Amino acid sequence: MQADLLLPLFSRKPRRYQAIYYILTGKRTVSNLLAGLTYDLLPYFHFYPKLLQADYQAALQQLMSQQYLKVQSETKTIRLTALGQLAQVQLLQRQIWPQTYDYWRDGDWQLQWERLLLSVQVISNYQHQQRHYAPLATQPLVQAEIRQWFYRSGRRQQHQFVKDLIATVTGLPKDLADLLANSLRSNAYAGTSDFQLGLDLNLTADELSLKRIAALSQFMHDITFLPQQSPLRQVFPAAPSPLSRGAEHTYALWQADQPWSTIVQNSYQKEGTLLEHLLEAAILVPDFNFESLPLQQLIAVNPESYFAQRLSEIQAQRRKND
Amino acid sequence: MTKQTLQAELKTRFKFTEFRPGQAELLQAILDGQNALGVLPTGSGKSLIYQFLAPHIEGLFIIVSPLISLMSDQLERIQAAHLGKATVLNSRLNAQDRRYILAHLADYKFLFVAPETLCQPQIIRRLEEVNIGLFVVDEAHCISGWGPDFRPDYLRLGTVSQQIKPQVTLALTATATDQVCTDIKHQLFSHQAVYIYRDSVDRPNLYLRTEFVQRDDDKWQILQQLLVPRWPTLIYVATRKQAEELALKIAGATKRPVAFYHAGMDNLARQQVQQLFMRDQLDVVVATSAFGMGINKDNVRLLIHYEMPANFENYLQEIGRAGRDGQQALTLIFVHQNDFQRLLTRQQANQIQPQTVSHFYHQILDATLQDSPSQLDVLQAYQRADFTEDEVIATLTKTQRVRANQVQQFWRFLNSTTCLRQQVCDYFDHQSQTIQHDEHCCSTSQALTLSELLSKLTLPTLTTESPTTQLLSAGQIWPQLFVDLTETDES
Repeated sequence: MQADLLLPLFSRKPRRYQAIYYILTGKRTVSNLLAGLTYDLLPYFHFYPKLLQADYQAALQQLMSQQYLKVQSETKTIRLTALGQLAQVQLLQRQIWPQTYDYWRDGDWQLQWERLLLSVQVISNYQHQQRHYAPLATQPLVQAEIRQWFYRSGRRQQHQFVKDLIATVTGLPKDLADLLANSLRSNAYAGTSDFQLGLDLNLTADELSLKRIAALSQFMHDITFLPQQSPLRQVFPAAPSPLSRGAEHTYALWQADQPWSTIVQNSYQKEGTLLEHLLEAAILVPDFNFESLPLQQLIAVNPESYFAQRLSEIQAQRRKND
Repeated sequence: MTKQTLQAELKTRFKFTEFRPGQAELLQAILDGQNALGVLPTGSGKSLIYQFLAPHIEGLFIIVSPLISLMSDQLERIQAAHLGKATVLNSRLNAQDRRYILAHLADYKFLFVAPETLCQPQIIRRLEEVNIGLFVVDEAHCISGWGPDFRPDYLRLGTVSQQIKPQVTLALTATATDQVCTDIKHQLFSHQAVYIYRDSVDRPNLYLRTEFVQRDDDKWQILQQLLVPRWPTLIYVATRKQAEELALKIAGATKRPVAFYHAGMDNLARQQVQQLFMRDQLDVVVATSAFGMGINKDNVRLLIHYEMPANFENYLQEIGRAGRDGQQALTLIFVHQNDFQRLLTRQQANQIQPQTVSHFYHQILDATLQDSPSQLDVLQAYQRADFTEDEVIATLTKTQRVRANQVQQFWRFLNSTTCLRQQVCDYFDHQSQTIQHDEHCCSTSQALTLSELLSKLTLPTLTTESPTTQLLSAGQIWPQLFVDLTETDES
């Protein structure tokens, strides 16, 4: 991977580089999520799901040899040098870094990208009476979703889809609009190779991928202003609960005012795991109530516990971020 | 079924008038309920055999493929031709998609699966519940330790086949020597009777050429000369980085629409390059060996090996991308002593040392394995195939020796002065024929200059308008994608 594209993830203050790797690849633990919250990198969760540890380490090594980053071995942290900060600013000025990306709002960008490509391909091919083609989506679930969406859509909805798509893309900054439109294709329009796109936009392959995510996340943000029943909006399912399945279950019981002792008693999981579920909710649920009486009682059982300490850290960080 | 009936169906369903050699014979054998092994040259339409059989044999068709890119290509072709519902099971699927596919297996006709995925107990259990019509082992030479592409997971396919009980099994390959064929028969079919069809690997429409160079830069000079006529061109290089760099150099020096292709790209980007190349919207593709098995562009007129491959098998597989329409194509390989040395160094660097195997089996932290996920993958594959530590060391020693011999043998071929085509046939064919060496056969740059050769060969150039390399604006793209843009909401 192109090493300098990692620069926006670091700051002049030391950051745990391994936690950043886990955030980027979407490894959900309280420790990683808390690091994401602390470094203001939570939106970049699952941003590079296929990033290999070896490639990440190699990129960090390169940035260190360029004097952009400085490692502190004993704390396993890395911070930007003044030179690195300058390079970071220059990179951000090139507007290829996806500033509006938010995993918790948009979900997995790879799936959303496939949904966009496939829905456009399906409508375009239908309009051009092309029935035989390979779908531009590799995920069977996305294929099944778009198939259902297409069969539900009548001619009027398809027309509205095209209209909303053009209006939304046209509303993007021109470079993002052209990048997005040139990435679409169907039997009627063959599109352009990524290599050619990169050449024309003066971007490397990795920069092109990044800028494409920037275009997609801006697009995802903008379609939230369309009416709920807009056929374009229906292509992209609303982001699911930010919580993992276990945490969602525990948090639902907690919100239903079940006493903690009952939750613990009725669960097959250890109390420590259930407490971690609450911590996950404290990090990810926007209106998590830190002041609720049951929560205060839970803290009071052992204010020095891992749970109480972490919760206090999360609350302080969220206040700071707000 | 008679050959005439099969031919009539071929015309109706696939719009071909004739079977290619071996297709009808293998189809007849399978329709008679026999297991079969087909050794057919590249471009001979191996995948048509199982596609053809879909309406004739009830139940799911499982196709084992060694490469993810190969699976995606075959899948797309089946989907595009509407031959039946098809899907893929491999390590790239997330848990949700995997569950979905396993729960809906009965809805599919074709299931493309990676060998390591197929061998997982829960997959086998699920497949035992399903009626398996045909079990296809594609690129079956991967089963043999004598082949260059040996995959330990392939060794378990014989056992898996006994568990899932397909009605018929078909093994397919383009590159199998006698020794490899014996291994396939033994490992996959055990003691069952097998119908075998072996065709010659000879492709008379491919002109074979060795081009000797003294310096790396000589290659670039010659390449520029070759890129002047508008021939659809495929250039093989050794690494991903080289593919990207050479594509960039060509884009800078010529007006030819070019792209690179390698396994590091995501599926959709690879698919895009393939489709643009197929539609002649790209003139030149610079690729690693990932652009290979199963990709079907008919009119590749010029195929260049910028660096030498490691053996005859890869060479044959790769030159097989050219001239699939039966018209003449030029395949040219640069011969440079430095490439040979680089290849040897790469092979040595990739060798797994006995100590590393030992560390792996005794779960001792090993720096080599930490730095090389590919070596770890190989050892995990052996472990999955129930190899002991000693067996792994013995097998690796053998395969490393085989590979070293193969590279030496191929280097001798490149430096030889006798008919290149005859040597390829002698290497692969069970009963090698005598090749009629003529001016459309082969040459070395020592015997015939490139200019002389190019004036002799009359390769057809692309006649379509050269595609523009300039980007369109979003406003120019919408009318191409969609019709009825001016239609009102009320329509």
